[in-house]
Amino acid sequence: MTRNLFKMIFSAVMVVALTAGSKAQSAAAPAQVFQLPAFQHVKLPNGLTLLLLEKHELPMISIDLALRSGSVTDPQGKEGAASLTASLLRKGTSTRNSEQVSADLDFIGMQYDARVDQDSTHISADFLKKDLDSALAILGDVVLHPTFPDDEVKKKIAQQQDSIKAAKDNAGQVMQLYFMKFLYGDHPYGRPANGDERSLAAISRDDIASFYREHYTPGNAVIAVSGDFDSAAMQSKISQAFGSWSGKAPAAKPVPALKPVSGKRVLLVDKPDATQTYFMIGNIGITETNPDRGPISVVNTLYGGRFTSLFNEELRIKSGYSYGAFSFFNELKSPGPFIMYTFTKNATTGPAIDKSFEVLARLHKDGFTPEELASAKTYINGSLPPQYETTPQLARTMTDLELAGITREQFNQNLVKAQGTTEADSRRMIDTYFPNQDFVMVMIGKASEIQKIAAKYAPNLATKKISDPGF
Amino acid sequence: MNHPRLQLRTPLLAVIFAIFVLPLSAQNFNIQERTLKNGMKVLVQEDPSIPNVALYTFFRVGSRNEHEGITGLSHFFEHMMFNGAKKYGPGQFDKAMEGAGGSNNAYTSNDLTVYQDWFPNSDLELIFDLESDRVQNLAFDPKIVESERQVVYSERRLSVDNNNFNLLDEQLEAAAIMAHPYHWSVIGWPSDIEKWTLDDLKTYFAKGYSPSNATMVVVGDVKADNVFRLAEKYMEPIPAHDPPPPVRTVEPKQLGERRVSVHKFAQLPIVEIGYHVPQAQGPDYYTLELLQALLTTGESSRLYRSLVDQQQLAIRVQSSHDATIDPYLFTLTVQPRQGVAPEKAEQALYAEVEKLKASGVDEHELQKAKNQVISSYYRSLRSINRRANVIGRYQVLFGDYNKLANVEQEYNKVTAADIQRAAKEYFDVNNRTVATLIPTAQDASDKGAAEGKQ
Repeated sequence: MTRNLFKMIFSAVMVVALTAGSKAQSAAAPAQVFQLPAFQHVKLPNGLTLLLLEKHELPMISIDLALRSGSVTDPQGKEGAASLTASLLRKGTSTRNSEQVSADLDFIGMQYDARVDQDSTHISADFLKKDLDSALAILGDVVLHPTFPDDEVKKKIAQQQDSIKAAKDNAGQVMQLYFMKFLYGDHPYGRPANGDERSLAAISRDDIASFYREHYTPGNAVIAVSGDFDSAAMQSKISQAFGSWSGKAPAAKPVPALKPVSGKRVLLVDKPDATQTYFMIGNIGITETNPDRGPISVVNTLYGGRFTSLFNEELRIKSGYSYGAFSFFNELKSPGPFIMYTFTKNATTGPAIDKSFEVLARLHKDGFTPEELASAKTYINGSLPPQYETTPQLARTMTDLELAGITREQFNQNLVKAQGTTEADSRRMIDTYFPNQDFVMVMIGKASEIQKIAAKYAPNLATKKISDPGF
Repeated sequence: MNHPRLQLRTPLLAVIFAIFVLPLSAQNFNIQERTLKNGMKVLVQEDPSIPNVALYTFFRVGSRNEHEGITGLSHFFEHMMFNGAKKYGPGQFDKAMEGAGGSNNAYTSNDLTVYQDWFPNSDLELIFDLESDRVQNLAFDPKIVESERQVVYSERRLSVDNNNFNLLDEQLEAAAIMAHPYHWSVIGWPSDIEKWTLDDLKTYFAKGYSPSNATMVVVGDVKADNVFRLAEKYMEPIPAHDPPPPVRTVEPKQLGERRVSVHKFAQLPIVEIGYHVPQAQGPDYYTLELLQALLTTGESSRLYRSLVDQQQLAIRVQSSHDATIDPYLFTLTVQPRQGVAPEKAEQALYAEVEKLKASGVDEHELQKAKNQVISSYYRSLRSINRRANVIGRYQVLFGDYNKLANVEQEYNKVTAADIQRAAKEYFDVNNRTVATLIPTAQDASDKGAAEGKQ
């Protein structure tokens, strides 16, 4: 999870990329606007959306196949069903058993991944151009013809249950799951995308098969391809591989929008071996199409989105409390969370939490100067090209935009808007989107040393043990 | 294990399989080089595909150059180099770089301290100014040293003390390597982090962090001539220092199996097994890379298939093999399923290794491993950042970036017989150290697990 923290910030930013053909020559001029390259958008007769972006530097091709269905579509009490379905695609098809799928995809050195988040499913493949036919055959096979053998379902469920226990041995890996559960409660975003120890046990092969039937349809899918190919030829290859796929998109089940919670709520998760306390502070944030997300990204860059941010400066650079302190908006279909995250040794838990709230108060009191805003805008602009450099990045960007309903023009406009953020805009962003007196805080640490400290921050402290099932 | 300055920030390079099958002809790399008068080598690859630049500086100093009392000091310097010099005072290095659209990170390994700058092409001269200021005039403010000491200990808590895999790995290395400085971990022992002095810092800086001990790699939207001109202006005037003294100690041959255990609160156990293997420039580097792919890369790999899929004894199995200056370890790590005794998973792992030693591999399986490393190699070239790292590591760990041209041949030369011979030679009971993490219950650890002096 930790690696994704900054990636989330950047996807929130969605700034400029690459003006195709016209390279930045200037040494001195303000950063040339970097624009996402134009890509081809095709609707196939069976309803499948195809996005194509050629890139010829290396003989490789990357595919991202996305479904507009994620973990929020899991049946109540069967959290993890969407995730299990995705991970079981490769565990047997009508023509290859699980071992044959693995043997075939490993033989061409293909990287294959299938994972689920709240709002979507992504199946990705990355391979050498010369292996295109084999790669498409494997991908088409696992997506169109999986059989979900009963023994493989049972095996995967058991492995997944143990994997959750293993993840709980490292607080950093499960921190955000506890936070989401505590902030969102029974709302679909509070439910763990990969399930928990109990919900997984309630899932049967029939649940998997019925999830597959309803959601794995061309009308619900988008395929993005980037790399070393000719677009016309690729369109015909994809049409061959996925042309026989049929089915409409399932009825949309919009997730209700939560308003920020009021009051102060704190959860302490006891991890008795912890020598440091991990904590997240936050509240409900924004959606992936919020019109203010450009200016928000500028403000968050200064607040907790880069090394010299206010939050990292106070918690790491000035005080030495922590190796790092970060804040980010996780933008989802319905409002996702805003989170401040850091960690500190047991003995400095109280001072580090106090300092975090002090920083938040300072944000509201002082805001940011025009000079600081200019620095953040330059930083954002300069960091963009490497985020849209490689074919896996580009394939994923195309499916993300398509699923969010954001056009390339809107994407670019948002970047321009971020660059135009004024001091008054930043003040409005702070007042509107950053928590102030109302917050949720989750701490994971050694309760026998930090429980009294935790209790200071809320009238009623909630507690759990890390070994308790669920989050 | 590499310790980045800011682990949460960049998805980097911690896992370099050092896979250098050369799919592009050597001239496609098109690297231009210049050696400055003070001995610093500068390598440039022009690539205008994005208007950005990756500038990496590799100092040939890492935890192998430390000794008892100052373990972890190379890594500490990785941090201190950001904390102020003469022209750019405390905090100014990062402020200037981020304010100009750049960002940075750094990592330390057993052998190297590496600084990474990423920035728009218009910042090139600013970056040289920043880099030369800190190499020439680094400040040692006692207050900042104390604060950074806390930051580094926090990093240790995050990446070792509260990370069971890395905690076990630290114990394994210390048991497997008795004499050579790879004995201690890159981040250093806690008591050294707490106690190294200002004098220790100054002495160490003078030894390791001179341009004469460094290679700079620049990849991206630049002109080589311009890079060389700036290198001559900013880096060449900095005097050369003597290199760190040679590391004399050679790890003696292991004479029998060693076992260590870690008892701590956890839900699942871990078993890690380490075998001594040669250095990057020694025999069998490429053979060992292929052995790694055969054993653990992908779900068709031997250990995944047997332990995770068929016997269902484990939830994961992984391996590591690094390119290092001196002989180091090839490790295999398995996390048993709940309820499976660690010994049982360990024995199942040996059974697979013995099968490989006894029967070897067929051509198809060997070809699969070669295809896996070749495609991974391509992946390591597709961003300017990763390419700068690959070129630099090849120069400093393998001795010459021009050797990139031979790498495909090196892989092609590896035969099934080589695989079997190497497996027999290295995966020997007397050459192995086994570390086991044994979970204790919640109550037991409430009493015994307090952090030493914290």
